[in-house]
Amino acid sequence: MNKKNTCKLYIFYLLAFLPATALAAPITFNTALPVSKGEVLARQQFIVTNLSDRLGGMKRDVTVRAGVSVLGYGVTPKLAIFGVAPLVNIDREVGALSRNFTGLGDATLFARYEIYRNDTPGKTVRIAPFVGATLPTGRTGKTGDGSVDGFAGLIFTAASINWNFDSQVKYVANTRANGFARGDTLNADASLQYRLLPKTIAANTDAFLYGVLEANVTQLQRDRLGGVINPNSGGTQAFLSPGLQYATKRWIAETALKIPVVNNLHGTALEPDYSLVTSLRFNF
Amino acid sequence: MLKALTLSLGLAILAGSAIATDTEYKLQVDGMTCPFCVATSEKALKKINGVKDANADFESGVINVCTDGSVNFTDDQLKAMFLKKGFTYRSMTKTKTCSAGDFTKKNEDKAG
Repeated sequence: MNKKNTCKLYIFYLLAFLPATALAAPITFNTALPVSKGEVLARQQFIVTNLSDRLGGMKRDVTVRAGVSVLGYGVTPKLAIFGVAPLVNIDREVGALSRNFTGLGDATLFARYEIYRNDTPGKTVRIAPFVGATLPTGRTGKTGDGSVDGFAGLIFTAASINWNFDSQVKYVANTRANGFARGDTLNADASLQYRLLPKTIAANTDAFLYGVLEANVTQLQRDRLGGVINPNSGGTQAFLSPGLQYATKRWIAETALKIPVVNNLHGTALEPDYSLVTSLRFNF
Repeated sequence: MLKALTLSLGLAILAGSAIATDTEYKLQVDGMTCPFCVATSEKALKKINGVKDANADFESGVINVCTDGSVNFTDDQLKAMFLKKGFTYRSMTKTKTCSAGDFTKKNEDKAG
C-alpha cells in the first residue's frame, strides 16, 4: 500500500463521522431533527481509530487521533448548514519504520434540508436529504486527502420521548488528486437510542440518559493510481457501535465504540480494529 | 389611623388586581421529544415581554405559560414562532389566573 493510498484510508475512517445536531441523535452519523432558525450548535468530537495487522511477518499499526470541531447553523426552519474542521494526529508504524503527522485535516461543508415532517405530541418523523463536499485543507498525503470529494444522502428519523431511530444512506464520490482517486463509497447506517433514565418523566425532568446501538455498513470501491486499479483496496465493512448519551437542556455528552464485525477488504488493505468516539454538543 | 387604613386598603386592592391579571396559557406543541427541544421552546417563550415562566410537559407536549396579563398570544404568532424552532404549534387554551410563585410551586408539586 503506497503512502497516499494509506493516508486516504485513514482519512476515510475519520470522515465517516459526520456531525449530528445537538438534539438526541446518532453518535456516528447524522439526524433529520431540526436546528432552529438562527440557532448555532457546536460539537466537539474526539475520535481515536486504530488499524493493525501482520503482513508477511511485518507488523503494520496505525493510530489516528482526531479532534473534530463542528458548527451548525439554522438558516431557515428547514435548512441547516454545517462546517467540520478536524485536527489530526496520525501514528504509522510499518515494521521498523514509523512516521507521525499532525495538522489540520480536510474540512467538510454540507447542507441539510427537511422535506418531510409529521409532528404529534411527544413524537416526530422527519426526512432530510443532505449534500456537501470535503475540501483539501489538510496536507496532501499526510493529514489530508488532496481532492475535493462530494457526497449526498438521505436521513430518516423517527423520535419519541422514549426512543429515537435514525437511518441514513450516503454516497461519497471521490475525485482524483495527484493521479490518485480513492474509490467511491456507499454507506448505510442505523441508530437506535433508547431512554434508560429516568424511567418515568416528571415535570422537573431536565436530562435523559440514552443507551445507543448503531450499525454502519460501508461498500468501498477500488482505488485507482494513475488510472490503474489498486487490487489492495475496496471491499465491504460492517460495524456495530454501542454507546451512551446523556442529553440535558443545553448540552449533550456521548461516547460510542465502533467495532468491526465484517472486514471484507480486498488484498492486503489495512483493516480497522476499532474507533472510539466521544463528543460534547452545545446549543447556544 | 384612618389614613393608614385607607392606604393599606388601596395597596391591597392594587396588589390584588395585579395578581388577578395574571394569565396562564396552555400551548399544544407537537414534535418535542427531548430536553433540548423543550429548552429551545421554553427559551423562546421566556424572551417575550410579560411572560413570567414557561414549563413543558414532555409526554403531552403541552407548554404551560404564565404571563402577567399584558401578553395576548395569537395563533399566527405562536405558529410562526414554533415553526422557526422546528416544531408544530397546534392550539392554545387560556385557562386561569396564575402568579409566578404559584406556577412554579404547582410544577414542583407535580414533580414531587
